[in-house]
Amino acid sequence: MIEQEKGSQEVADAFTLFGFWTSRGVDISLETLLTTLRKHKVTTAATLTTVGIFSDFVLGNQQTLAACQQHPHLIPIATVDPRRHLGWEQAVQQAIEKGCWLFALFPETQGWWEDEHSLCVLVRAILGAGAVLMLEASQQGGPTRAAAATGGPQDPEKRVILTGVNYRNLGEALSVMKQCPGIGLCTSSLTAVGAIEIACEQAGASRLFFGSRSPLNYFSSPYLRVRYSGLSERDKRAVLGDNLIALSRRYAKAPSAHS
Amino acid sequence: MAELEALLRQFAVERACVASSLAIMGDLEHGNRSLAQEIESRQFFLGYAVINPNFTALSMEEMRKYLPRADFCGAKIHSAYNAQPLNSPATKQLVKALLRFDKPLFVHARNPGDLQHLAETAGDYPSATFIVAEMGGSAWPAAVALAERMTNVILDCGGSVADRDKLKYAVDTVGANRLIFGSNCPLVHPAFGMGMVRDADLEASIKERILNANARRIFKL
Repeated sequence: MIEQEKGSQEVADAFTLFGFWTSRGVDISLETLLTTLRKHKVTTAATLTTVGIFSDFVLGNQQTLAACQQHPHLIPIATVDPRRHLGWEQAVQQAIEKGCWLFALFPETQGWWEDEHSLCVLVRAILGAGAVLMLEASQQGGPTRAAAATGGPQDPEKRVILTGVNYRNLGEALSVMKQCPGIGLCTSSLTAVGAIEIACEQAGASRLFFGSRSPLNYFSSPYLRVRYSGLSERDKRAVLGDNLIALSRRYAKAPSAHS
Repeated sequence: MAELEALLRQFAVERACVASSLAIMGDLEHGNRSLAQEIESRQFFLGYAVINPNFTALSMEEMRKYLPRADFCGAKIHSAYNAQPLNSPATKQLVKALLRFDKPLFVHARNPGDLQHLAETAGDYPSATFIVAEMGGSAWPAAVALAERMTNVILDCGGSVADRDKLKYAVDTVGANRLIFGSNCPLVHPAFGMGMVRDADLEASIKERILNANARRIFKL
């Protein structure tokens, strides 16, 4: 049983959640998230409320921003949902004006993967606004659709982080990443022996981001997966925090004066 | 196998039950035989004899060959590969044949439909023991519900689904004696499953049962 993992460092978590999860009676309140982050020495965490995923992205983005203003170690993740159609462009603009530089789209959870037109429009709007996008891609074809939606495989400034990539579609993701230097991976579902190591070898550690999906998921599962990986200590530090901090320094802008 | 053992030992694993992927993919005879040869000289491992209801006669023969051995801990059916429901007549025939070896059947049932099929078979053979791999994956609430109804169903709590409520819910629902730890290595790194147990809101004594005592009891180690 692991009580103390080898080494320890400050951790930056690229993907956390708070709010509610309708299909499970699990406590993922903001308080629980904060407690989890404290317990695991996470000094920076990107987060969003599930209100924006399941209910109303305008309200969700407001709640996410409010939580992050109150807790400055949290980085807000804004989101929009094309099924609503109305208001998403303003929501992207408002979030940018309020200082959001990180967005997430949930086409699988929300069930609109096949609406490739909306995906392209949203992805281009978000990337065109100078933000970084986290995009669900746990299914076969997801990484390919993500790459197509970015519109230009060679532009490394267009930063997309694929979430949910797992042993079933890691090969596809790595193939896509070879063509698209701006696409990175969240490690939360890279559970297989060798998966993180191969991703690091083929795409480079700078494109891997530790994300826990905590407190919906156990924090230690994806965390220990990285800690006990075959990566060098330097690469582990990059994946477990340095890469997210570097993105934050590069993309974060102060909120507009009128926001 | 040496690498697998070394990796698992990093996590203080003392014994590991293992099946042949070649046998799971279809070649029962060669897969089970090569596994038997591999584990003969490695006390760390216990084998599952893979059986397949599409090949009942061969599966019976494989059980006769391997299950009397002390280094084989049970049989394994992977219904996703053999495309037979867990309540098919052929599957039930194999379960009936397994009874005389008094060893558990490790099954993959990753959706509510599979678990429903398993419920029927587990009900028909109450003296057989069924271990549900990865606690049913994302269908773990249905797997827990099944184990609550059927005392001959054991939950392997590892795998790649790290839902934070699953271990505590399982213990609260079925008790601490019918959960065992399975890493699903190398498809899943053992750190992942160990992380679940570490973070689970459970007493240390319960974690010890999940990680050790329950498996020793179920596999008679």
